[in-house]
Amino acid sequence: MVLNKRYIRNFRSNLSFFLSITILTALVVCLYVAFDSSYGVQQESFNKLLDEAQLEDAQFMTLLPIDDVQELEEKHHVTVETQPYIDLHMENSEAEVRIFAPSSAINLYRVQDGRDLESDTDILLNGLFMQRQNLEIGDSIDLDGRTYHICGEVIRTDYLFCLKNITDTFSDSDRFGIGVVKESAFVTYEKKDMATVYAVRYSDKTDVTAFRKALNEKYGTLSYVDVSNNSRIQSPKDQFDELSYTVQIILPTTMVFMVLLIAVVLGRKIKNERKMIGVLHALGYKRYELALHYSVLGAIPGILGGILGVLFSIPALAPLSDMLIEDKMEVFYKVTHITWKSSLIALVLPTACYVIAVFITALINMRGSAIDMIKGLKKNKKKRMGLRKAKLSFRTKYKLRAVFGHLPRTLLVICGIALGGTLVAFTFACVDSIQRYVDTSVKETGEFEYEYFLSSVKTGVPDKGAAVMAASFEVKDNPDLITLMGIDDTSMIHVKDSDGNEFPLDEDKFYISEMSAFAYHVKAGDTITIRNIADLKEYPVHVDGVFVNGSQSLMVASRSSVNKLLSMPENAYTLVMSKEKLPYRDSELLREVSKSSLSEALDKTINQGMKDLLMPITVIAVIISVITTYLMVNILLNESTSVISMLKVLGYRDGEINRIVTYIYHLLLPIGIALGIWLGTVLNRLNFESQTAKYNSFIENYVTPKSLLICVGITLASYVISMFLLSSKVKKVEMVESLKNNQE
Amino acid sequence: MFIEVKNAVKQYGSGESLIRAMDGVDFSAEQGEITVILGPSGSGKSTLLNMLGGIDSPDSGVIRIGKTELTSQGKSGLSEYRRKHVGFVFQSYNLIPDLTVRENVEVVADISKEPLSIDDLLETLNLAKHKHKFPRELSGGQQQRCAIARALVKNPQILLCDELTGALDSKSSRDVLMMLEKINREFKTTILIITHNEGIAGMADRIIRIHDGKIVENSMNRKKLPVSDLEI
Ligand SMILES: Nc1ncnc2c1ncn2[C@@H]1O[C@H](COP(=O)(O)OP(=O)(O)OP(=O)(O)O)[C@@H](O)[C@H]1O
Ligand SMILES: [Mg+2]
Repeated sequence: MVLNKRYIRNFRSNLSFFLSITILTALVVCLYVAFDSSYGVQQESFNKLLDEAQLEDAQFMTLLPIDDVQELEEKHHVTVETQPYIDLHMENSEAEVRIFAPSSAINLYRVQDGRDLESDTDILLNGLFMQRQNLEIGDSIDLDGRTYHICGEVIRTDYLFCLKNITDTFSDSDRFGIGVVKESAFVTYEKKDMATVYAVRYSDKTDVTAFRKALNEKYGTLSYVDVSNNSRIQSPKDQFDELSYTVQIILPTTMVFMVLLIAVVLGRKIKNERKMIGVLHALGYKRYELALHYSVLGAIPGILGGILGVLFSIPALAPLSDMLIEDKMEVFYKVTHITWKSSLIALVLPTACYVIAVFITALINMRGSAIDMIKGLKKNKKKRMGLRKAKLSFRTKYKLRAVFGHLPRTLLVICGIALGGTLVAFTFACVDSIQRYVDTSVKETGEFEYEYFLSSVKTGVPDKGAAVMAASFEVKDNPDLITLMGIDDTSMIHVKDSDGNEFPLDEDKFYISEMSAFAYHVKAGDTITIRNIADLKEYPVHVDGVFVNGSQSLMVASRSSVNKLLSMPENAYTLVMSKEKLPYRDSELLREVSKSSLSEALDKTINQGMKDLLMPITVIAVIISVITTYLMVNILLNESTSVISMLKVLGYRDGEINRIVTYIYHLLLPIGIALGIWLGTVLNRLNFESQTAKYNSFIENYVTPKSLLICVGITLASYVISMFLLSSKVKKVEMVESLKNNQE
Repeated sequence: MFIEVKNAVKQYGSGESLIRAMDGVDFSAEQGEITVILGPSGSGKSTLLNMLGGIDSPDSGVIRIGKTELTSQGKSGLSEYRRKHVGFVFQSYNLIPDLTVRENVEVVADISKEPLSIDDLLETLNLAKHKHKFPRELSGGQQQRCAIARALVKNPQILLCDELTGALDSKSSRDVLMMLEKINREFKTTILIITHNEGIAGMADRIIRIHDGKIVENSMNRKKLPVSDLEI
C-alpha cells in the first residue's frame, strides 16, 4: 500500500511522542520483567532448596538424650534425626566454626560450589564465612589443631541466616561460620564437647501436640523451635515476604495501568486523524484495511518498547538477585535468566493493548458517513460546554471549556499525572514507614537499655535493675511466640494506650501489645489461651487492654500476677532490665540484649535491605513520572495546534498564547499530584497490611513532609520541564502550515 | 504608496524541485484601495498575501506597509505588526471551536488599542442573534462573517482576504462582499482580496494578475461596480 509511506512520516513528525511512549513502555516492562524474574526465579529456587534439603519442621533439645528414636518415629509418624555439632576454634582468629556431620534425613547440606567431601580432611564451609575470612576453595584451614582442606562451599538450610544462637539478632561471619566434614572425621571429636539438637519432620498423620506432649513426658523438653520461629530459616523467607507485594502486585499493576494509559493516549492520537481516515475511507479503502493500517502505529511502539524493556532487564538481573538476598544471608542462587512468563507478557501485553486501542479507535471513527468525517464532524455532536452568556473573559471561558468541555482528555491528563507519581510516592512512603517503624518501635518498647536473660530462675530483688518474670509461650493454633512479662517497675517498659495513658498493672490485669493483638486477632475483653512451649500446658488469659507497641509480641502484667498464673514463687524472676550495663558473668546469662543492638538489627534487616531494593524502583519511577507528565502535556498541545497557530496569526505573542492554551492544566496539576500521592500511600498501606498478615510486624503507613515535598517537587519539576519543552514547540507551530490544512 | 513590495523573492525546495513561489514581485497600492488579486492555482497569490500580512517573509526583497518595513522585522516585530494593523480572513474560517461567535471576536478586541464595539459590529454583520453560538452551530457564510468581524474589530489599516468566498454560495458571497465594501467606505480600510472569481474583480479599485510567481498585470479598474451589481 502507498499508505505505508505514511508510517515513516507519521513517526518522524511525532517523534517525541512515539519516543516517549516507547521508552515509557520499555521502562515499565523492564521494571516488571527484572523484578518478576529475579524474584520469581530466586523464590522458586529457594523453595526447591528447602524441599530438596528436607528442611526440618521444628528442632528441639531435651533434658535426657533420646534413646529410642525409632519408637518415637513409629508411634507419631515423624522423622527425627539427631544432629550433633561441635564448635571448633579457628587458629590465629577469634572465629569459631560449627561442624556438622552430613545428616541423612533432615537438613541435608548442599554443595554450592567446589566438590563434595571425599577424604576425612576435607571440609565444606559456608560462603559468607569464607568470604569474610578471605578463604578460597582449595585453601586449608586450621581448626583446634587439625588442618582441613576446603573442598567447597556449603549451604545448610537451617543456617541460611548464620546465627550462633538461635535467639541472636545478628549474624557475624567474622566470628562464626558452619562447616561439614565426613561422618568418619566427625566421630573422632570429643563427645563431651558436642552439643545435640534434634530435628523433626512431621507427616500428614502426625498429631503434633500429642508428639510434643509425649516428648516432654519422656525426655523433658528444654527447647522447642518451630520452623516459623526459627530466624536462621525465616529471615531469608521474611525478605521475600517483604517484597512479595511490591513485586507480585504493585509492579505488575503499575505496568498494566501504564500500558492502558498509553493505549488510551495512542487512541487519542489516532482520533486526531479522523479527517484523514474519512478521506481514505471515502477514497474506497475498506474499514478493516484502514484499521489495520493504523494498528501498525500502535504495534511498533508496543513491540519496540517490549523488546527494549526485556533487553534492559537482563543486565539488571544479577545485581537485583544479589540485592534480594540481604548481604548477611547466604546467597543460594544467582538469577541469570528472565522467566518465559514475564518476557512473554512483556512482549505481548503492550503490543496487544496498543493495537487494540488504535484498531478500535479507527473503527469507531469510521462509523459516521465519510462526509461527516471529512468535515471533521462527529456523528453524535458533543454539546459544547455552556457559559455562553456568562460575564467572564474569553480567556477564562476558553480555559474552563478546555478543561471541563473535554472531560475525557482532562481525566486522562489527571490520571496520567497521578499514575506517573504513584510509584514514586509509594517508594517514598515505603521507606518512610519503615524508617519510622525502626525509629519508633524500639523507643516504644520502653526506657530500659539492657536486658539480661538469666540462665536460672531467681527470687527476690536483684542488686540493680528491675526484676522481670519473662517466659515465651505459644498461642493455641498459632506457632508464633508471645513473651509474657511480669514486671513491677513500669519505668522500664511502656504499657500505655494510644492516648498515652498508662495501664495500671493491678492484680490479675493482663495487657497485650498492639502487634500481638493484631497477630492473634484479639482485643480488650477477649480471652487468649497461651501454652507452655515445653509441656504444652495451657493458660487462658483475659486481655484487659492493648498497649502501644508495634514491634514486639508481648503480654504484660505485674510480677505477682504472672507468677501466680505460672504457679511460681511470687517474687521469682528470669530477666533483669536495666538502664545501665550490669556486671553479669557469662555463665549467669542465657543472653544479653541491648536496645541499641535491637534497633541496629531492625535497621539492618528491614530498613537497609528494603531501601537498597527500592532505590532502583525509585529511579525508574521518577523517569516514568517525568515521561508521563510530558506525554500528558504533549496531548494537550497536539490537540491545540490549530488554536495556537490562529492566535499567532492574530498577532498574539508566544507568552500570551501559552497563558491561554498551554497553561490550562495548571489547575489540574495539583489534583493529579495529590491523587498520585494518595494512591501511592494507599499502595503502601496495602503493602504493609499484606505483610502484617504474613509475618506479624505492624508497620504503619507514614510519609514525612520532606518526602511529600520531594514527590510534589518531582512531578512539578517534570511538569515545568515538559511545559518548557512544549512551549518551545508552541514557538515552532507554523502559521502558514496550519492555515493550509483545513481546520474546523 | 501605502503598500510597497520591491523585487520580493520566495523559493521553496531546492535543485530539481525548486519552486519560485514569488519570483521578483514588484507591487504597490494606495491606502483605502480595494485590490483584487487574480491568478491560476499555484501562482503564488497566497504566498504574496501571507508576506503582506507578516505571516511569512520573503527570501529577498523589500516589503513596506505604511511606515513599517516588514522585511527588517524579526518574529516579534511581525507579531506586533499583525496585532496592530492587519485583519485576516481565510477560506477556511479558522475560528476557535471552543469559543462562541462573540468570544471569537473578543479574542482580537482584547489585544487591540481601540477596538470597535463588538455588538455593533455583529449587528452590522447580521450576527447579533447568533453571537452566543459556537462555530459548529453556524453555516459556512455565518462563520465567514464571524471571521470578518474578528478581522475588523481592531479596525485594521489593512484587511487581507484569501478566497474568503471560496466556500460560500453566491448569495452568501454577495453578503460578505457587501460588508467589505461598506467597511472600505466607512473606515477607509485598505483591502486585498484573493479570488478565482473574475466577477469579484468588478468591485476592485486595482486589479493584479499573478502568473508563476510574477505579476503580469497591475492596473486600476476603470469600471468599478458596487457589489450589488457584480455578477458572481
Ligand atoms: N510550504 C511550502 N512548501 C513548498 N512549496 C510551497 C509551500 N507553500 C507554497 N508552496 C508552493 O508555492 C507555490 C505558490 O503557492 P500559493 O499557495 O501561493 O499558490 P496560490 O496562488 O495561492 O494557489 P491557490 O489559488 O491554489 O491557493 C505553489 O507552487 C506551491 O506548491
Ligand atoms: Mg492560495
